[in-house]
Amino acid sequence: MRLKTYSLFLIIIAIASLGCQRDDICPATEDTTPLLIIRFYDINEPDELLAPQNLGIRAEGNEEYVSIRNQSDREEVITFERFTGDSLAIPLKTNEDSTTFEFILNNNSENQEPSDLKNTDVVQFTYSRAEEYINRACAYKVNYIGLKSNLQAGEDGAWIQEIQVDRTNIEDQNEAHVSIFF
Amino acid sequence: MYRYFSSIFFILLTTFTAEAQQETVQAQDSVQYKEKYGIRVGVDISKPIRTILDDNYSGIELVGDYRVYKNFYVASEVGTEKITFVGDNIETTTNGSYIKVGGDYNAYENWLEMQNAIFVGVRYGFATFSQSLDQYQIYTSSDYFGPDIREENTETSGLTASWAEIMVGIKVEVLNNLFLSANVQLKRKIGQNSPTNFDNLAIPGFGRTYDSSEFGAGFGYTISYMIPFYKKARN
Repeated sequence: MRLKTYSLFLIIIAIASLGCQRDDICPATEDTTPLLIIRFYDINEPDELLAPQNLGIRAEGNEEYVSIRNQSDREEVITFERFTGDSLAIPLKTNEDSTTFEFILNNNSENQEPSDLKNTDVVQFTYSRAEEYINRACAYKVNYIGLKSNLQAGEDGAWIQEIQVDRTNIEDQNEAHVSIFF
Repeated sequence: MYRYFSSIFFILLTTFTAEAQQETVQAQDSVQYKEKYGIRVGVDISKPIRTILDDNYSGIELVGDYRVYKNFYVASEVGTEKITFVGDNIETTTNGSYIKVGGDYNAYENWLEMQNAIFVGVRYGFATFSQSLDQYQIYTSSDYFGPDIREENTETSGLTASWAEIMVGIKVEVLNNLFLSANVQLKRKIGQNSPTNFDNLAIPGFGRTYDSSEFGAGFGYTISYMIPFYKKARN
């Protein structure tokens, strides 16, 4: 009788140990592939942050504007279509050694007449990539090494005056990697 | 003549005494129970069943123990396992074999000639295996460029791991010398070498690992047969 109760107890433990195996969700706090953090400064007063108005960013050859998930609430998506702010974070391609973006200043909506102030500059970021294992839930991240930038003004002239790479190795999102002066 | 008779009488007497002595020995037998000592060999039947039911698993394990003294047994398990781990962002396959050695202590007081057991055991486990990274995703906080899924299928062989284990279980003699046994195991990793820039997501004999702890768990359900070597009186 005692053996029977004991064996029942063992079977319950065995089933329970099989059941609790799906705790493998990548937490939002985990450092995964870093975004490129850009801060914008006033060219005349290089210590002063300055927000470009209605900035649209999209990758070359992509119709859609760059979007990222909110760091604190990953269900929320931030799209850089008419973004006004002195700092932002954009993703770099993890499967290629370069990513080219169009930075569109005064990007008004398609319903409106194109503004004369609208100005598109093309910025190419080149780098090499190193994969790093995080854990079983998040798998791998990519670190970008040796970041370089290249500015092309385009037909409508340049609104960006200077791009400065502050941190060439992008491994985390603690500080800005690139400063853009305009 | 007298001499002749006396010798016959003597022979008869000794035979009778001898018989009487044998009877006393037999009588003692039924009071002083003899216990079987021998080697018990078997197979874990949960692993073949799991092989059939679970696409991500195949394995087999042989078990054996030998009663050395009263309630103490030396015990060992050897097996091979192939475990596929499928996560949200990663898929790996671990393939290898293992051995566990240690001892069991039977804490169950048996009646008469019964050989049931409620036991606790300790083991040292050692595994050698290979691990292949079948598929993984680069985790990003932006979906803008679409998922970056890699299928390079890199395999790392020559991996090893060792662990300590405690187990509790029961053994029930269902037929003469045939036992069914169930046990649960708690394991703690002692050492391992893992692939560079990666981790051992599962270890044969240990089961799946956990990122945040060195512990693992398992269970066994075995059928085994005891080959008795000798009997010894229980005192």
